[in-house]
Amino acid sequence: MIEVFTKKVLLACVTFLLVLLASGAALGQTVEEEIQTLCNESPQVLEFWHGFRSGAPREALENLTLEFDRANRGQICVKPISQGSYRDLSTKILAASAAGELPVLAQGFENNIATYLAAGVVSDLESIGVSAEGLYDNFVEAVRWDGTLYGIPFNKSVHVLYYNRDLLLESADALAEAGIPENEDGVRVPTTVDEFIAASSVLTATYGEPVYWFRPSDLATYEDWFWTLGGSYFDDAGNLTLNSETGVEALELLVSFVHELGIARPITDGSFINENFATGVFGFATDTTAGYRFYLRAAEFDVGLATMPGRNPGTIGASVFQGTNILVFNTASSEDQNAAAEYINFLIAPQINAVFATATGYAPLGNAAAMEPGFELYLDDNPDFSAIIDQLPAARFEPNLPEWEQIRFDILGQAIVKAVLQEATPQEALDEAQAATEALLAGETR
Amino acid sequence: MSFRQFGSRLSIYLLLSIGAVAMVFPFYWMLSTSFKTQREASSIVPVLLPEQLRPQNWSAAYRLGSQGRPGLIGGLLGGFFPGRSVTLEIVLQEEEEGAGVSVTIPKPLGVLSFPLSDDTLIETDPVTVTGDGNLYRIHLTNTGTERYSRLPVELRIPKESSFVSSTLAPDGVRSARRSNRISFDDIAPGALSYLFRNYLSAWNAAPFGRYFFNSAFTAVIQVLAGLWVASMAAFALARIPFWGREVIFILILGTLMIPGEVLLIPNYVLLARLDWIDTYYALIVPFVASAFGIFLLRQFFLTLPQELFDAARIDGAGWSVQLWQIALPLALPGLLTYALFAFLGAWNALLWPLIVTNSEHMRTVQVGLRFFVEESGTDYSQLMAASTLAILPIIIGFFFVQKQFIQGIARSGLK
Repeated sequence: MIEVFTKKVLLACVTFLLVLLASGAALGQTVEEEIQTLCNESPQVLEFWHGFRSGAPREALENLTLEFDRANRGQICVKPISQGSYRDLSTKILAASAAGELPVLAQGFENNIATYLAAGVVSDLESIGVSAEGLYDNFVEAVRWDGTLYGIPFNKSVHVLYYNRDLLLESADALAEAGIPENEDGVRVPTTVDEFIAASSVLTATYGEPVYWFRPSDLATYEDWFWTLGGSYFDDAGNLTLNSETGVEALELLVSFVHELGIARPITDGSFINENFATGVFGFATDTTAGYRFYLRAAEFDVGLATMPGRNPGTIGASVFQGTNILVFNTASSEDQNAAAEYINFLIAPQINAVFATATGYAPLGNAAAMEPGFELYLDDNPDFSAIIDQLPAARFEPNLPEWEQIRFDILGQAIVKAVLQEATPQEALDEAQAATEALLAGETR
Repeated sequence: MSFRQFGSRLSIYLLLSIGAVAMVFPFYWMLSTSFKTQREASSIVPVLLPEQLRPQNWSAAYRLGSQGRPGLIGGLLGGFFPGRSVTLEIVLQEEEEGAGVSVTIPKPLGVLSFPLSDDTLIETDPVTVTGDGNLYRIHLTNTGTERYSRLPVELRIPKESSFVSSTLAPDGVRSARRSNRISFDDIAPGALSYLFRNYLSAWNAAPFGRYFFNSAFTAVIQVLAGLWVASMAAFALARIPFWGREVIFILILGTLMIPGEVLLIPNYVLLARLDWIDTYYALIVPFVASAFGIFLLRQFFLTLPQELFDAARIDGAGWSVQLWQIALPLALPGLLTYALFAFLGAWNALLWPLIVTNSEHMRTVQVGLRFFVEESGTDYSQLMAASTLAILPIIIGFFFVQKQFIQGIARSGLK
């Protein structure tokens, strides 16, 4: 009897929920539906495989693509298709390449492009009419191979120093005593590595818990310190070297933040930093600007952004560039490739790029976008965002080797985690990573 | 009952209770998170009664909803219709009386024009001093001709002012460099849309209706076709003597040892050559011949007494009669066990459907759930709402075939 009753109640609840969902569906067409409608009436449909799953980047990309498709109604229609994460995307492109079923456009990191280049499927973008003029040189140089442009920078983010402005203002006296100078906004934000350690120590002592949060599994955090200390992944002979002297020094510094100095809290459960604000006192993070909107959404405190602390006074610390480029496959017909060039030129036009950058937290691609009225208006409202532009000259790219994705996640990334968790000394962890990388590059392992 | 018996029974019950709580907790967490805001979901002190479950918020949502859209539908589902005006009240503690509040309609990301913002006339009444603080009445009127399903609002107040209360609980209150910001995802939600808003947003984030159909369709066909193939193959391997039977069986078993990921690219290439990418064939056909199913059913058929088949043969039954009229009816529990595993495997599959489909209308529920895990953060409220929806068909199915389900799992010795 009770069981029958439970079943009936359950069915009633489910029916109610379904009716509600059906009636509560958004009024009018969704962006995706509108793009589909436009593509149905267009003779030329270009598929664009991307790795944005949701959130601001996907919303912005789809809205901008809809603008393009509307403007080209009845002629060209670009259809963005999310293929899961970036790693899912590159797996799918490899499979599609083997099957001869590539789309016209796709997103790819520099090392992905290197892999696709080896398969000979990437178009020379300049030859089909894409112009990279006016875009920042360091973005463009990263996607040139032997002078040929095989990708166009698109969603480029950079690591910056996130800080809790309310906390720094609250501890202003203690920070002043520790010798941290005030910036033009009256906040004592550390600008050198020594100041960073001093400020973190003061805040850690005040609040009784480590205030610098980082994710050891995110290789980029290690790279920020590695490059700030003057490191390079390549030795003088151009060989990939993970266990260089500076590499070990940087890893020792990171490990000392956690263990000797006790100022850092490693987040090892796979969650993002911005998902942990309720679990302790957040002071600093060195994190990607792509997460800016997530920080704003999750934080009750005033989220500040600053350039990375430099090694010496008056310098900006180095950090990593992240994010992907757009490429065109030469397996598409020449008409489709030309249409793809038109779409790319639309996306990188300063006005459109400014809209994308302000919507997502990705960097503007050139000075023209950064000077767009829309961008300047946004900066007025969110002055912290200018740290992104100030950080750009000091940022660097990871090596664009085809094997890098594997080295990054499965070898070096693991080594950093091991050292932070004290399962190996920094020297041992990096030596092991070096040996594994050499074996991989020599083709001895896969 | 002796004291000792009582003690042992108590400890058994205690252990079982702990186990039950451990099993139920993730489910409870999923369900409760699906009614929380993102901030409530990430709070370290568990929020026992989220804002969405407070009746006073339902009545506020009803009032605001009916202001934005006429009638009962407006009160329940909300919206912002032409000519309608929504009034939001907010109480602030201010250092200086009437320090003010500035109202903006946040723009969706990446749009060049935004009619909702252009169509909305914003008026704020002069400040009224009340016992709790200073009250501001903000009227938002739709002066255009378009109907909108949501009306998001962001309020900025001076750093010195602090938020006390508002008609509807805000979704975010945060400190910014020059102002404090109070944001509402929708100030004309309607009672039901307010209560189930994570479900609605999740449902509207992607075509989940279609995803459900695809998952259910592929799972059912996979189960039926899988049963057909596996029972015939298993019967042949168990009951029909032929040369090389053992070798074939070992080869089939051998395929169980190869991880699926290794076969991803070759299988994709094969399907692409057949022109099956982005079709139901790609989602269903590769899983129809299941080595696990063949193995399971073969072992089942082997346990049936040989005498039954001998008797049938004496009566003139061929192989197909033996299969359909003797083996299958007796192997019903085994068939159900395989059907359950095949269904769950198909329903939960992620990587394969993601790789072999391109268009939205071919994707499955599990692929849809990935929308809420983003590049730099996860939207737990919506993810849990969508997960609850995704798990519903399985739970409903479980209620109806509970007995067979438990027997099936127990019989296979697997989980």
